[in-house]
Amino acid sequence: MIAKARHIELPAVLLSHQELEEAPLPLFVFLAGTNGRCASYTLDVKEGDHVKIGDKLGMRKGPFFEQPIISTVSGTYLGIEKHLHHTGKTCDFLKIQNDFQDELSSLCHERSEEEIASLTKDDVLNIMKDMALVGLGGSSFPSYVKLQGEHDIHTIVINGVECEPSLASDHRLMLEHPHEIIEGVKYLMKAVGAKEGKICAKWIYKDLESTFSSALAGEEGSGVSYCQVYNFYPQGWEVACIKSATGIEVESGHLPAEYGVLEYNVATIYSLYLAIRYGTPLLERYVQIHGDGVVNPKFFKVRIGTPIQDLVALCGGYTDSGKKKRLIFGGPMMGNTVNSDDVICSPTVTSLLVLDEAPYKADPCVRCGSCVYSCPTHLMPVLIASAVKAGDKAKVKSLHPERCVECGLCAYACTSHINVTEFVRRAKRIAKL
Amino acid sequence: MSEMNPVRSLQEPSPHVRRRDSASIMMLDVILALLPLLIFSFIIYRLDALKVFGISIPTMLLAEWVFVMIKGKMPYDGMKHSFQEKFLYAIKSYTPLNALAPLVSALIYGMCLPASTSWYGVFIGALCGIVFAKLVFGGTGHNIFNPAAVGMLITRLSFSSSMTYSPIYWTEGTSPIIDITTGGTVLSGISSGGYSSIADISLLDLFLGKTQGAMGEVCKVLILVGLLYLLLRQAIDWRITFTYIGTFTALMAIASIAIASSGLVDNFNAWHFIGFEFLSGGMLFGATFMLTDPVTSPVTKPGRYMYALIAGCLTVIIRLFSSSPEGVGYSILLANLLTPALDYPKWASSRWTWKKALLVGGIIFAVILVLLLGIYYGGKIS
Ligand code: SF4
Ligand code: SF4
Repeated sequence: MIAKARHIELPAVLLSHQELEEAPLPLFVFLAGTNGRCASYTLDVKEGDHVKIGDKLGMRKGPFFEQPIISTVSGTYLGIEKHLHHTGKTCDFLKIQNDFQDELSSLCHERSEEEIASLTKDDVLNIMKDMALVGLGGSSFPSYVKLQGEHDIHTIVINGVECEPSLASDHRLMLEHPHEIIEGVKYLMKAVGAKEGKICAKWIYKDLESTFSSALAGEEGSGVSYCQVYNFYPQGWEVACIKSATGIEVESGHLPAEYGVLEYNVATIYSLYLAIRYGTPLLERYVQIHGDGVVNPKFFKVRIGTPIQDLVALCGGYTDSGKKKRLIFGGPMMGNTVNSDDVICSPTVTSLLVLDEAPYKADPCVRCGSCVYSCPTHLMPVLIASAVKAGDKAKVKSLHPERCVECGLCAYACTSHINVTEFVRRAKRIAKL
Repeated sequence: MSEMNPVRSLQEPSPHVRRRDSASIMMLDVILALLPLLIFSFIIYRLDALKVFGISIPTMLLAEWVFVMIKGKMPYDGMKHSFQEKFLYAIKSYTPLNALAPLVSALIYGMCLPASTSWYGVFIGALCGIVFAKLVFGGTGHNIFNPAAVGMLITRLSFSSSMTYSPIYWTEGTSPIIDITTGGTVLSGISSGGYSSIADISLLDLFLGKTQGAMGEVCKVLILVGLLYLLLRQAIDWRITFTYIGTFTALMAIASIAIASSGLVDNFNAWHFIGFEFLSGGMLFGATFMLTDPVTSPVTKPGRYMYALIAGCLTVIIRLFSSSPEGVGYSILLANLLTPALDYPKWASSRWTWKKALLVGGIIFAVILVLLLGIYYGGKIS
């Protein structure tokens, strides 16, 4: 087919929409010491110590930042264990035995409306640092960094687009907590002096539209609005979302802030709300366990730090198809596979997609051009792939593989089932050498 | 705590889903689109059609098969393998696409030939077409030239004496549409006899295929059916087809106005001239099945527009000014030749740039200039 791919068609088994279930609180909770971004950490607790929700147990050390390790449960600290982070890296986790009391630490203090009203941009920035807020859209990038610049911000775009097919965590969050999200946006707008706050979601979600129109009633003067965006993939990509919400086109290599726009994921805003209003960390996330590889796909409200195996067990385990399973964290387009299910739900885990093995046999490229038509960053993936095959570094560089956002559309659209995206990833590495 | 069956995991890079589509499906679509034309040629040309396709298809299929057997060598692993093992290994590397791609080429190639082509002409063209245009470049996906177009030109050039373009069977009993003593197509009529020789050819007959010419090229209505199917299935890029047809028609319109205003030709009917050029020869067939072959066309949108534009200009120029009546084959091959340049990483871009727009404007301007000068001063068309 010679056509741009804009919608991702999924096999029917992946689309079953599930009712939310509250996962039973886990006996043991695991908090990441090291993680995808941070390679080392220091600890302030000893084995056997009693910890409470919101307690700071240590410091994670990233390449240019530090963030506290904050407990999401109360109980006894038992020591360090090795498990997998959802990126597939083996990391150190702090094991805490849950006492099921959910006691709050004295560090968590509620702020009154007056206190909140007096918060400056630097205060908010410090709260973000103290509460270890990270981009929950999947980047896990520390949130405060976006606030650091000196640019004048006029609009805050709240990304609730979740464009990958079959994902529903942000959708659920928006349905359950519209007021908290709106408050969070207002706090942030005030802190940075933005006039507008646009909460974006796909227009096909009619339930969200009605939820937000009633939640926003009476908020007319606040500048917060609900904004419907297209149902194309990848609408949730920062640049596409900003374009749809504000009409501003952020050029590759530039920051949205240079255009007066800040973009945050809805879940990040929700965690910001909790941090500012109650001084608590984000405790729960909505996690989907789905795909044709699990017996009963389910949708859970999960305490952060729960082992994913517990959730899979609640779904009745893996199907017995005799095929190997792909354990995918994230959606079918951008999710990454891990080689074992010994993974802990970190704040950015919202979906485990278990798919039966289904190898794609690649034919030679027929130069149909679908990959070129589909690329949201206007690259020419087929030419990048052939430059990579030819090992021509100068050519690879001239095709700007670094602009690729790894959306996966080029491979999805490929008539010959070539994983073009993988070639572009290789090109990125070659260009960096 | 979990009593689960352990999971056997498999790692793979994202994305984890693919569009429901494949190169083989694309080839099958082309074959389906050719089917009405194939049936038409069998009804009209009967045994002659059997001869042409009965030779072209096995030749191309076999050539590709031999190629796969040679190319599908076992990688060296330090062990000795029996002939049987090697053979089985090579067989395994033969995919459906290895059968469908040459089948498509063979069908298109056959359609481009007149029914009277001698059997050895068909054979040699088919063999040279697939071997020299495709296999020496490394097989499907690596070729620069369209194998069918190369094969057709080789046959038409080397064996033209064996082609008589006999009047087709269904007009037997009625008078042949044009005087066929020249033994050419309708287009060779205009080339040798001038406009007056085509002035009373019915456009409707051309449209329905009541004329002489290559087997698949004559029946325009069935080509349009195939075109419609391919467009609906998105198996070809409409940009190429429509740009080519549009360029061709616009330039022919300009030419006909120029001819009419120059007063060089008596009783010149501009509408009839445009319609005649549109409906004769292999223009529509080439625009539908040959120029659009994705392998030999550029991969970007601007590249495709330019590619089709250039092919259209070349077709018009060759038709009007050269001694060869039919410009489609040549112009397709020349445009194929430009594809690597249009896709050259330094110049190619997935969006229009000012430079490209200027280049296109320049080409259009130059071609129109050539047309007008040629018609007013060349006097080839009389
Ligand atoms: S993965 Fe990269 S190259 Fe491929 S379509 Fe997406 S942005 Fe373009
Ligand atoms: S890489 Fe795939 S999508 Fe891109 S031109 Fe080749 S066959 Fe088409």
